[in-house]
Amino acid sequence: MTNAGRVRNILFALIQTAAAVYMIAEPADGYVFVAVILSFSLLLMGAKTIIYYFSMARHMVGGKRMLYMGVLLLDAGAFAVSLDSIPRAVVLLYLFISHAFSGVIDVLRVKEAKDSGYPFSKFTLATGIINLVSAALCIVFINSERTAVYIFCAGIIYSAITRIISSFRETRIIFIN
Amino acid sequence: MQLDFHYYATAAAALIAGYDPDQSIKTGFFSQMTDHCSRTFLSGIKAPLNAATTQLMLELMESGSDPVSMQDITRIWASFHFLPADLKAQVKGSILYKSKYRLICGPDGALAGETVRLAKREGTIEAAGLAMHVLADTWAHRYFAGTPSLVINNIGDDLEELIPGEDGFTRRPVKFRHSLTAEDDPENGIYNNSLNNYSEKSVMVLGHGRAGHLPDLSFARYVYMPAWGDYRQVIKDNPKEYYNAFCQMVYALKYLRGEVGEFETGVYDYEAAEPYGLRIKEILEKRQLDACEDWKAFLKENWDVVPGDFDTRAAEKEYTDAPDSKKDDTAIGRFVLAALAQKSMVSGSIFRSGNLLAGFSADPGKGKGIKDFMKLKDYLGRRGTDD
Repeated sequence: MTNAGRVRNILFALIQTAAAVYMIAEPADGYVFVAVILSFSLLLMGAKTIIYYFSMARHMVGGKRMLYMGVLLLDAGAFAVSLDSIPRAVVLLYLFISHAFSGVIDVLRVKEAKDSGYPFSKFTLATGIINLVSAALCIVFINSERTAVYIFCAGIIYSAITRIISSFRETRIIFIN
Repeated sequence: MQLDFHYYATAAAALIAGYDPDQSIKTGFFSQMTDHCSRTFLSGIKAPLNAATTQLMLELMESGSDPVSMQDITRIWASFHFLPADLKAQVKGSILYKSKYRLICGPDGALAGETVRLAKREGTIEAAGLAMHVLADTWAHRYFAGTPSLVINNIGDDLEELIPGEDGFTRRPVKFRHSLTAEDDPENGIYNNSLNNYSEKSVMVLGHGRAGHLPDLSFARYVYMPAWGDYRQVIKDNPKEYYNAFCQMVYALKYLRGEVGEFETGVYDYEAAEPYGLRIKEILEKRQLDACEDWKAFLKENWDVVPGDFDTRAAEKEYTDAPDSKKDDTAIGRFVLAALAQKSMVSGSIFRSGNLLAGFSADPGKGKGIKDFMKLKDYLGRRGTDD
């Protein structure tokens, strides 16, 4: 990673943390913020997919599908942004799916190491359990705005921490001639 | 390729090349070790994690899609399983597209030659085994890249298997499924492959995941349009290519033994393999998911050699029991050094070609580098050379 990339990563992580702390302090505003972020992320995904088509996928056999996907995502994002409010259940279901998937992967990873007779990472196990608990909370409190905000913020803070850690990881290797 | 070819067939190639039975089995063993040496394995024996030569499925799923993780994946898979054929290949497209295109694996590239020469400089049987793995995989994994990429590695639904019959070959469309537990079913043409989630950076589109195990099955012949191929079909004839791989290994191993002066790509020792050719081709063409028993029988018939099952416990014990100062003198210690050297050579070559997909490399002479690779630098220093 370049030094500029490291600085960019750290700055982005700090902004993420600040936004998460603000949303936790003001859950009512925070929920609107979460809904807006999710809507705009759809828009962004659409734009990214279209750029991806023109820069890469147009060379690929069957690559036009990426163009159609990009246009559909962009359209869905524009529709979501135009709505007055997004139902709480939709936001919480989105969070449920992402946490449940990550949690299952972490637990399977630990199981694979254990089955092979190797020591397993307690950090990975803890992360997996936290993710599964978060997923369960999304379902239990499916009508609570606060739950959506807290779980979303926990995800943002976790992402910021991993971003900072990866910025300090040494990534060079020695080459030999 | 699978254990049957990497372990048993490689041992057979070593015997034909003139190695003694013990060295031949070790060559096969450390060729197969390349498919086993994950970070999970290395952490279990407290060996340098950067010497990982493979990643377990869940290690892959756990890794992120950030540039650092992508570079880490590329270093491992491009260095040991999908050696790029031409780092300067010309193609139209953006810089990123070109970078990915240039990592497409294929046999007889400049890096294949460098891999064998590097093993010669290392001079250990463990380095020879590792090099044979890399060399053999250039044949099995050609047309795929050792980096996650939808635009390079994706497979459409046009893939057809060529089934040999009395009147030549018949085409049969392959049916793919995404089951983690079901076995491939060659009889009915049903194979497992990875799910396409239409993401450029997904591990689902790493290497030949989208083509399932077909490239690793020696009997498979198939025709398809590679994602990068501009709608042109390619035919992959595994029995023929695996035989070439075998004969190239014989030639390379003769070079490593000192029987051949220079190693050149594009040279295959058909002559040495010829007395065994019919039997080898028979094994390669047999429609079976695991050819271990046939290769074992081949070794027994011709050399009265019976390798044990692939079991790393003795090597692990030797490594963990050795004091820190002696770990480099153990078999796994030598394999670790060979792996670091190979990863360093390939990643460095990719970096110097102006391609950043495998990340940054530093010249050892400038004293930079991370801890595990300093170990390599120290080793090169002890050997009295920086190359």
